[in-house]
Amino acid sequence: MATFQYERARSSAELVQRLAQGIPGETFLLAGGTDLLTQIRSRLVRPGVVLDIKGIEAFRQLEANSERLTVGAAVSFNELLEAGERLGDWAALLQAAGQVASYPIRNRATVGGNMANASPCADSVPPLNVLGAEVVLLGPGGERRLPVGEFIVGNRETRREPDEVLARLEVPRPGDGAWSGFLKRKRVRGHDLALASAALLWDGAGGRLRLSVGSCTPIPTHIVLDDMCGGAPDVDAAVARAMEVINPIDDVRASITYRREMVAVMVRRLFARRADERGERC
Amino acid sequence: MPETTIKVTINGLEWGGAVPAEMTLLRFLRQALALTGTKEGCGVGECGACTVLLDGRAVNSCLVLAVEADGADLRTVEGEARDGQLSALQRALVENHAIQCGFCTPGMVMSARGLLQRKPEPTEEEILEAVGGNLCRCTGYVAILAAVKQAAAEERGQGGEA
Repeated sequence: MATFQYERARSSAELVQRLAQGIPGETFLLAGGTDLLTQIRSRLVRPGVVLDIKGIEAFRQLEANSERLTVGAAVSFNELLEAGERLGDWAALLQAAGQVASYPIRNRATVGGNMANASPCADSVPPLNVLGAEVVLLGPGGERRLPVGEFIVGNRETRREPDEVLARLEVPRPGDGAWSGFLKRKRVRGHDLALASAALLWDGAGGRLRLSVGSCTPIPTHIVLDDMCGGAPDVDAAVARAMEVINPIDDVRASITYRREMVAVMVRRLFARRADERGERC
Repeated sequence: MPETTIKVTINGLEWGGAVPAEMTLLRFLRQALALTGTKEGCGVGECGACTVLLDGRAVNSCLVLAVEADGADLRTVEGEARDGQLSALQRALVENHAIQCGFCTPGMVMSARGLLQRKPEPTEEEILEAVGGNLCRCTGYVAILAAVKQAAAEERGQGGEA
């Protein structure tokens, strides 16, 4: 690997100060490193400085209260899963976390890094999107918040400025009786990227019925079906709405046709799974 | 070349010294310490051949910088055998014919070791999840599954492997 300077930030204040001094495009933030190190190795990026943010205590926050779930930038997927018992209200996110890569990668990879990396096939993005998560960015002017759909603006492109860091994710607690779920289609049982994924939130009390499809568009899809929230949903119509917004590509993992079909299957299965769990007919 | 001084414990022995910032933990183990039991397969976290335990957690050492391991307790496949005797886990792999070319084995051993440390009585599902990131392309996973189950039972009988 090409050489670079490694630095550890000990506090968020020190990190913000360091980023302000850095040369944009040369300073790369390191959390779990599972994406950054492969990018450095394959020479997709050439950092001058790699700034490790894992040691910042504030970024290790993982807390669920009556209002929200807070996931600090240094929290790994396995740490999230290990706290699973108290995070049942955010089921779609937990289900996605359990599907990320392999067990050893989940010991390093962070939820915040998955978001900041903004890959179209990021497993955590569709559930965070339907759950209404906000990305909290910290920079020289303090904090600012963006919904997931506004944070990611393209394939691996976000609104994070070079002097900002993704400090944490805040996910509101869904209303009482809400249901959420996630499905991922991949080629093998083990480690694989999603060829398509889908997340559903049905929050009757909050009047929200939301769907998000992953791996089928450069930016996260957010399909608002709140108008169906009242009664028995028209699953065919929900599938049709998903088909209108997705725009999958042909690549080594799957064809456009297969991806579209799988999205339809997953959307149907999410509705069916909810009905099944609730003892209702779908 | 920017270097950083680190201190680590490897298989119970302490090591301190300077490492280049860009050196991966895998390269550090193999080249700086000549612990060549840990293998490099893909180098990008897809095959699991380089799996080691970092503070008790299985990680792909190709995706960790040596400098990130500063202060950590590391365990590699070289820490398995004691006094020239294979561990129960290693022995179970041999007895169940769960090894053919052997290239994936050190990583497989460490993934299984990480699992047995946190779950001494793992279910089949938990074993498959733990080794799902370790690609084996000759033996197949049925024999490996049987070996990990056998090792778990033996180690529980012995009061657990240290």
